[in-house]
Amino acid sequence: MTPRYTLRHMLYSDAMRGILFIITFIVNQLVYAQLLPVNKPWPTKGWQTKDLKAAGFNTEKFNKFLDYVWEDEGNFKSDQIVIIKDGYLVYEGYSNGYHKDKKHMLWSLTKSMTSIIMGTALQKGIIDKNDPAHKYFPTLNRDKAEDIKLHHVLNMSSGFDFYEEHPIHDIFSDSVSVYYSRHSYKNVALGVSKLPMKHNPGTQFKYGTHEPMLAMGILKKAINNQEVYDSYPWDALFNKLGMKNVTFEQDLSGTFMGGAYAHSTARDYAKLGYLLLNKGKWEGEEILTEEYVDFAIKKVAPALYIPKTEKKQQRLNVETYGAYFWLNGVLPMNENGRPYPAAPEELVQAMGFRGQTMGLIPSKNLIIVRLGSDGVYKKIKRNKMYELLLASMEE
Amino acid sequence: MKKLIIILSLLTVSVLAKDKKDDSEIVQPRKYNFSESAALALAKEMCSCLYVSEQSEKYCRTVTKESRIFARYKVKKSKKQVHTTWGGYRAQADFNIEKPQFGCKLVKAERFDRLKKVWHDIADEKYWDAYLRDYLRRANNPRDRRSRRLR
Repeated sequence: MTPRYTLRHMLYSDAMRGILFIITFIVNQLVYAQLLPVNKPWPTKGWQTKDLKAAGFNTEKFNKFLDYVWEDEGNFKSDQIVIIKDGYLVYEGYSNGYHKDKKHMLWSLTKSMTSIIMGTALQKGIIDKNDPAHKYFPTLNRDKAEDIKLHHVLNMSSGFDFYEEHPIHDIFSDSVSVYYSRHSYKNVALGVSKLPMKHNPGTQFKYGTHEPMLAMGILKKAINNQEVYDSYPWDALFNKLGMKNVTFEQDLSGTFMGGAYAHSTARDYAKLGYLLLNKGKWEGEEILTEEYVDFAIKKVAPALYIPKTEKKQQRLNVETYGAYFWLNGVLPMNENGRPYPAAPEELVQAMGFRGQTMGLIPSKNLIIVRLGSDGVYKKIKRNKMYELLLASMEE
Repeated sequence: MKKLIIILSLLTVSVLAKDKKDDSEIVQPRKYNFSESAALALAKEMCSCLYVSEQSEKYCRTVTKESRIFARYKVKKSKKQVHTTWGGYRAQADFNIEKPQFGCKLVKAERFDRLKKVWHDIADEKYWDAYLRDYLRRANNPRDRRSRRLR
């Protein structure tokens, strides 16, 4: 008598069990690698909201956080604050005439946006991290500058003689003159490429607006088509993430001002943070490679490990830096510990003038975007902000 | 006593000068023009605040106060332009009406020597020619208010 094979027999056969195991394994891997958008809220059409309590916040302690960030004693001015937990918007607040759709000047948060735009171009193969910068700007074909590679530009270690914050007074800073000079305002990236060199590339970290300006200039030359370049940030990033309220200003030559002049809302900017928390994937699509995300927000710029050679230059080897993102790691030569002790070492920040901040804490799946109009000296204390926010999440 | 005071003053000056020299060895103020930067910065930042962030002029005055201490500005709302002047420099920033996603950009930054312009006008024959013609036109026009004064 020949055996009758029913569905039940097939399911219980060793071969079938093996096949089911393999399929389950592959699906799990895809979910783990975030290629399948399973049960993950994607804010492309807008953030889904969740109650603070349901998101695990202690409302009483959270009020202390709010009392601080919205204090109106004239010390600083918060304009927009958005908090995202596990992909849900759990808090948003606005002041000084701002609302959820009103764009705010991002100042140096633009640098971090530039980092992500450069990351998309790397992912598409438009540029390569090892590209020599003089390939795009022949003005760099000179002593020391000829060794500048794109990764030096992204790590702010090209070696230009540049002072973002002048030790004598801010008004003497190169960050002011890099835009606001008759000689460079028409084409800022070209102006940067003509700056004198002070160090060999990769040997000295130096935070400065000039590097992301040059980066956007390099991207323009690499694309080599003004129309494509003009729409590139929208095509490659903003539209995919559903960032509808973004203005990215250009200089007279049509180059994006990658160092400081973008405007957006806190809601939209938080999407950039969510992209990074999801390792560069968005609704199943790879926008950034995981390698680039690590380069931008995990790997400390190599030049930071080299002892500083210049005195009195502010922000030199005191805070750790990735690719246009601030990190919270401790450098061997820094005895003061983490720059933001109240926040964990994994904190990643985009920071800008007048207290602009985006903080990411990956293990807590937490994003905070705070846009403000602080004075030059009266600024929000970011460490205190994190301290109060994280205290409200403690069980 | 006088000699002592002179010696002490000289010593103080030399010590201060030495300190200054130490600073200058580390960082030299860069080759840029302060007046120029103030005029350009105010034009750009005021334009962005008014037309990109769409804030009130009152609010924009507070966020541009660092450059506004020095420079003066004029807003041309119909053209969405901001014009600034300071210390012999003038700048202009325009909002890109056709492509608002690109916000404001500096379109003009130039040296503006007011005295030189006045002198140039005075020395120019055409200027006087135009002035005379305008004077005569007004003098011969009975409806012109100023012509009554002229007569």
